Amino acid sequence: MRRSWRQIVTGGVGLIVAVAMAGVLVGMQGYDPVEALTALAGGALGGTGAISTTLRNGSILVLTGLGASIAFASGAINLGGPGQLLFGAMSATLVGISVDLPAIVMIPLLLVVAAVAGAGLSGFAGWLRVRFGMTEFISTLMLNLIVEQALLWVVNRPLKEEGASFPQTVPIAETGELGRIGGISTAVIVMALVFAITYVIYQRSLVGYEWRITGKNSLFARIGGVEVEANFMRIMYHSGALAGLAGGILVMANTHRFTQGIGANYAWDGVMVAVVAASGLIATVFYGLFFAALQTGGVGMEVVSAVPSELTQVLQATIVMLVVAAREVFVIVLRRRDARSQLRATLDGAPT
Amino acid sequence: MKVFPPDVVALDDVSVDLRSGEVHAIVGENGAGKSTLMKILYGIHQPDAGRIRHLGREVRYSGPRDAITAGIGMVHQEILLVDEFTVWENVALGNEPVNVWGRVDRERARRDVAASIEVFELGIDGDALAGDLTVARRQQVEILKLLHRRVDVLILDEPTTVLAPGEVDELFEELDILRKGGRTIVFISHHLDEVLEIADRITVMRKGRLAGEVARGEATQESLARMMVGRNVVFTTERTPVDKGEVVLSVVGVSAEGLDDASLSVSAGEVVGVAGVTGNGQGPFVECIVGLRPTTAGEIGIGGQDVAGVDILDRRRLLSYVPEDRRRAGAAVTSSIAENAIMTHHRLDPTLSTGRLLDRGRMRELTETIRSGFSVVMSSPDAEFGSMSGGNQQKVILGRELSLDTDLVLLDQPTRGMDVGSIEYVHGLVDRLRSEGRAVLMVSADLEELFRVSDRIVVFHRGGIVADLVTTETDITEVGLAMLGGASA
Repeated sequence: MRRSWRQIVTGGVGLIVAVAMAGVLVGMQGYDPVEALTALAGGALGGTGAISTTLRNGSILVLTGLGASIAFASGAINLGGPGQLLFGAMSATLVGISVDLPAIVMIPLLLVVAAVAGAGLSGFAGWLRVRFGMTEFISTLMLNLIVEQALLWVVNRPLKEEGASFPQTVPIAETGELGRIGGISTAVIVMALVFAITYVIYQRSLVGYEWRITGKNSLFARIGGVEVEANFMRIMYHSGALAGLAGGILVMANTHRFTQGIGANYAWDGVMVAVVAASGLIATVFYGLFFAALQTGGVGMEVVSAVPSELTQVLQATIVMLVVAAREVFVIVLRRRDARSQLRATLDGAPT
Repeated sequence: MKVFPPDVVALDDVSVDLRSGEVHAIVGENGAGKSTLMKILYGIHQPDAGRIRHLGREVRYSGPRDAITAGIGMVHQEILLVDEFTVWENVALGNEPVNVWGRVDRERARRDVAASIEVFELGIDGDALAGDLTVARRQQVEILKLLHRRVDVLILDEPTTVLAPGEVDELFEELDILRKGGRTIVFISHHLDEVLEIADRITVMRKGRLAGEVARGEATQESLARMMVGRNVVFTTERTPVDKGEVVLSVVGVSAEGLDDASLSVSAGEVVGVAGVTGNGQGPFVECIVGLRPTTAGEIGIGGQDVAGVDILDRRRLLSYVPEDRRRAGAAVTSSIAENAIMTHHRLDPTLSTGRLLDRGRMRELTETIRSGFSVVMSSPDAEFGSMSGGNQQKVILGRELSLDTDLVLLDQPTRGMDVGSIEYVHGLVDRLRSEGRAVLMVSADLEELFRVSDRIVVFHRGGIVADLVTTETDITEVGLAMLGGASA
């Protein structure tokens, strides 16, 4: 069976079962499950405002998810998304508050700054591995803590907006904001563009081919003449750039400034999306948007039906486990079938 | 005790009987099925068919613990002791006596182990730390662990490979004591001199089948070697003589980790076979040529070019390489067939890419060329590589490598695990390469195969080349002896 089909089947089964379980859970607590789930859907997709918020949050989640996916699929364990996202957000903010250029220049500039910042941070972790043999798994995680705490200080001290009651910087120039077109956040345009570029690099280019093969079997790639180390650095740059970009968009389309706690859970949710999507790029977009819809809809559901929005987190976690489990079960079943038919073939053909 | 396990892949219809009070040697080349047989006996693997009878009763052990309880114990090649524990603690571990309070009775455990050391005449200090012991002593502790659990069938898996010559004698004395005490010892080895010294009976295995069983008095090194490697007869194949051309591969005095001062040259139109028991330096030798393993001394030249310091990609312009382990090094099994087929080509063949993008049409073309040129059966170039049978997978790998069109071809175990038809195909292919004037270096564990395809055979033993023989002037017995470190030409 084709892999994509397998993914759709396991994903679909996982989603349906998870939603059914969520319904049961809601019902057990004395709420009306149909009403709650309808409210959830309405909160995510009912009306332009809801759709725009879902797409905006979804774009950020898709970008962090893509960053994690291409790293994982290429055999690089970049868990530095949270730090790279914050670093990208802060860099975009810094440039956004210090220069004021026409939007046509300003928007690309801020996006590039955010991407470069994220790439730089993740590239540093990559360099630590290439130069000193420090695994990126640890270094990216630790850099998260350093960046997070350092930026917390920055937003509480030197860059804190005077007179503000909450730790936040002054807003960026208005020309750097990603506004709405027809009521829909333009963040989604940036996301679509970045996805297209990433997809072409990863699926169609020479270097992307090498990344994919390295992720599946790095010894085979190395024997085949792939420069595994140089590629590892490229992957880290690209993956970090996507996380940084997510931070930039967060500032430009949403908060318009750097605030304490701005990163929320976007980066870790991105890792989760990559895991559910089995690091597939298209699946990452799908699950990223889907989880964003759940989260956005959860808020609406709380208002309408009094079911706490925490339910969406339970739902999300259930989906992750079900989809991943369904995938593994599928693989096991297929392997058993293959093994059995192979054994039968050998037994039949064996001279006795 | 009898074992009849016809496991199609590793073991086929093998019967062995072990008698109490004997040392029974099992010999065979790597992959002959010795270890599989023992693992079945020991409960690690289950036979697909056949029976095991122990003391007249039919048994089936679900695992080592089960087997040990029944009195069968195995000492593996790797010795697993807790270094921070004393000898007696290691021996008692997992089998500790408890006192009335349900706590481990350390004093009793220590006394019991000391008693066992006494009974089995082992010269070990029960209070020594395991980490301080020599390898030979550690091995004795492993044996003691089993004896202490009242095991009376002791399986030793190549116990002498880790020992120095003097230590081997000591081990043999110990085995002799155990034999006199009525215990059964299964001794796995491929050192024929050792086997002839210690064993009462010898079972020879070959390619998963029983090649014969002889008593010590009836066997000689030569007769055992012949049984191990197969018939003495070598197929005389009508191969068209090819004039040797210039030297393509020249290896002079190369040393590396696991390789000691190896020299070899292969000329155009020549097939050189590499023989040796696995783990005697052939692997490192090939890796040095490909560039996977750094050399510490010597020179490697390919096509007249010194490749010292040349990276793998640039070496790949000069050599084709079919690695020993297909799934580990020869392919990405979960990627598509086309993606596997273009590896290395993607950097060396400029028509495969336009700008920085892969040309998918050309990718398919190349895959199609390989499919038709090497008669591969595949459903589609986009199918998963792992969905093909092993033989077809190997054909794709061979096709990919040979269409690189290099003067030097390295084939590491190209027929391992393949069916007869595919093996024939590969042999024909090697003949073709030879007549095309390419230089072929082929590593194989199958001596008959080497005699079938090569012009010369070099033999590796303990990291070095110990023999360089012309195929038509030698025979399997001579090569087999050289492989086992015996006298050679």
